[in-house]
Amino acid sequence: MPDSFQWLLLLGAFLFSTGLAIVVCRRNLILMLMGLELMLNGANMNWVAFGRLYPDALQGEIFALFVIVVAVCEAAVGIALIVQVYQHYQVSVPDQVADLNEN
Amino acid sequence: MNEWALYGFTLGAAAAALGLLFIRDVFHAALALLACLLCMAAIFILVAAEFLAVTQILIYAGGIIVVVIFGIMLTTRLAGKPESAPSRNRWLALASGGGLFFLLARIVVQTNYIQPAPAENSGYIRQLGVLLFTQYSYAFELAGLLLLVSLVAASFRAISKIRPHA
Repeated sequence: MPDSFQWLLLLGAFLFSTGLAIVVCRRNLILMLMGLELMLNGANMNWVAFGRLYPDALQGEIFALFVIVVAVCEAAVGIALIVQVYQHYQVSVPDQVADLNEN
Repeated sequence: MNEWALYGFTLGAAAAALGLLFIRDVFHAALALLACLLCMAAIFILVAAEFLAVTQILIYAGGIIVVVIFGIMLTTRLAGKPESAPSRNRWLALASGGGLFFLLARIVVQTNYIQPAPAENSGYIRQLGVLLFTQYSYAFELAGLLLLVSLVAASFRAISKIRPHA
């Protein structure tokens, strides 16, 4: 059985892979955004796990804080764009937004 | 005791992530994401990263989930059936996600880590604050500027009307 440090790294890898699968297979824009958040959280889990190896060095946690800030920006801008797309096309499924595809 | 709590919250976060992958209803998927984020905050507390745990709860569970639920509310026809989304590309998703996880897990398990003796770290939040305002002050201010600009841009983008689709 892997020790707790490897367990945290495995959780990070699992969250990242699940987020990737969500972005690939779900067809709703908001769900794809949530998959992106899950991928960012998987990366954060790696920062925290390696920061735990060296408790005196806080660089990992500081970088995780900056990742959270950027995730907030991404979620705000993403939701605003999704709402605009919905108001314009009345759908939130990216496959049905196919104007550029037709001509 | 501590170790078993860590394993439990890890499994909880993984199960919530799988729920996000399989739940059809978008609102229930948002609740699964919330459960996953709270489990991760609990893991952060267990590995003695309390400041990050509080930030995770405040910003993710309090901020991003609320924004996501507002987004669901604004993009759902209120009179119609609840927003649900069928899946596509199932095999591609299984191959990419499963393959990536297999590779990463193999690397994690096979690597030999040099583990120094864990030192007790007192005054952790004080150290974090000092670092943020000395060594990382430039990045800190830049992150604040990025947050301000993107929030103003997002609200401006969300309220401005564009011509409806003909």
